[in-house]
Amino acid sequence: MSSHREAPEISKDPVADSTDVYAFVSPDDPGTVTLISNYIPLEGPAAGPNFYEFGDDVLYQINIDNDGDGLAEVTYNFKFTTTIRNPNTFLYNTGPITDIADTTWNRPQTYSVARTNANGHTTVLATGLTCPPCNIGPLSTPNYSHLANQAHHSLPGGRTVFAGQRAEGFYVDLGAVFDLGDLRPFEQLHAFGHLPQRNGVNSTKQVNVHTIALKVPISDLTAGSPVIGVWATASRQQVKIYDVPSGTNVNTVNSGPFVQVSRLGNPLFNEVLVPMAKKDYWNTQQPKDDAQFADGVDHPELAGLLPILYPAVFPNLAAYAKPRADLDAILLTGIPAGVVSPTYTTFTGSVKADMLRLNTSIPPTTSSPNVLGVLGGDLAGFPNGRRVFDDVFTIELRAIAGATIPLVDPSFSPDGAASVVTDGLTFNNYLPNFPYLGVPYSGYDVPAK
Amino acid sequence: MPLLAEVAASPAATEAATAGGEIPQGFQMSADVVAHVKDLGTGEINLFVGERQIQLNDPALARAIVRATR
Repeated sequence: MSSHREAPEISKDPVADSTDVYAFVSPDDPGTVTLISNYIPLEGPAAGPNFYEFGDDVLYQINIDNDGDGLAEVTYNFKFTTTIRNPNTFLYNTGPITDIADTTWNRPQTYSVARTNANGHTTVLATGLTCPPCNIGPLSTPNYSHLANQAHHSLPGGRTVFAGQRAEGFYVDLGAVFDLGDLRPFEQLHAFGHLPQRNGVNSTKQVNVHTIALKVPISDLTAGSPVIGVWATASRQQVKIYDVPSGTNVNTVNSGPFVQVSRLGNPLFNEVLVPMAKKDYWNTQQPKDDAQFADGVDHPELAGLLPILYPAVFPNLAAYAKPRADLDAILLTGIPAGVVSPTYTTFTGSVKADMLRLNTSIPPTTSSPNVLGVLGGDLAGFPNGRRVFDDVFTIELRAIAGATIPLVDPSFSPDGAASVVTDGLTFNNYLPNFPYLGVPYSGYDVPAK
Repeated sequence: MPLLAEVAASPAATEAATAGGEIPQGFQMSADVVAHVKDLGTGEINLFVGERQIQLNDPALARAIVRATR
């Protein structure tokens, strides 16, 4: 998936697992940028009695590099606190929750937001901000949108924040893709079996995630250049002890400095371009050190597999032996001016760093945005940042298949298949306004997966 | 991973603590202390307390901690 369960260790720690990162100039408030970081992959909506929540023992961060060094000059820090109102019931809620302050919600979660600047100085912006509960069902959360709206909090400096459950916005035909690279448009041509061609299946349909969304003035993030690099992280303290005093609940003791266990900039980077033995290591690293992973970008394994899995479908890709400077630019340095258009650029310099780069001077596309982003002629979409609806899987798949090589090597002619390869999905459960991701699915409507 | 408090009464541990300065009578720890003996040969011990990590190189203390686990 985008980055859901993308590494062996983090796949066992969903509360700290960053699944998607989005950064875009807010279409309804173009003087601002919206930053979204999702965690907890594949939440089944019917999750009682223990519904999903952020980890009180996890430090969640959204990082911004504004000078191209692959280090954060701005970091937003989020810490959560869960309380139990009535410890003597097994219930998540003891009646309808019609207001996020209702005492019928037995397990409310609050959080703090702090901003760390380039000098390492941290300012607490707010504490005690309330999350909404999970969307349980029509009896427990009869007006979920109202609860979610109550959880939009204003912060000093013209910022707005939300943290809580949302509908999953990423879509992918995961079952087919990881079945030996089955791409539905060509599955009748697959080397291991000629399957009848069928429509794509959205593996993330009707699941939820936990979202941290932050809308801030553009000037809060930039410093000179309009281009910023964005990535999210989650960190845990080095030591955790399960202390089980007799007759009481389990007491956990967390000690030591926070260490980074999850990271996400560009979608699918760790998932597809980093070998399995290095995936959890990659999660601990800073973008400034991503030159160590550049070989996986310059010579992507998937680009070598496509011509093998689909004989005669990708002959030009099969013959292309040069390092993939197109992917290097898209994912590690940003695209210089003059490559896509005279003025379009996401270039941040020579430091190879996996960051989601956003040129904040490019206005949002408010009328008929193209889900293929820059590949579809829409310069306000991925890889210029990432909007919630961008079809990043198809974009990156086509790029790996060779569609973007001519940007840097005009002598190359992409195979015809490179411009049509897709998982064949579209999705439309989004909101036009903050926090842009749709209302989470309730367990009443959707059985657990 | 033994709790440092579990071996605090050992002679070697007392020596090490004394070398770092006396602990006043009635001193209350602000957080649990966790010790990770990483290398018995060099005596490398990492102490975790709150959000801090302190590295010691104390072969005698490392041996005392390991001895307490046997």
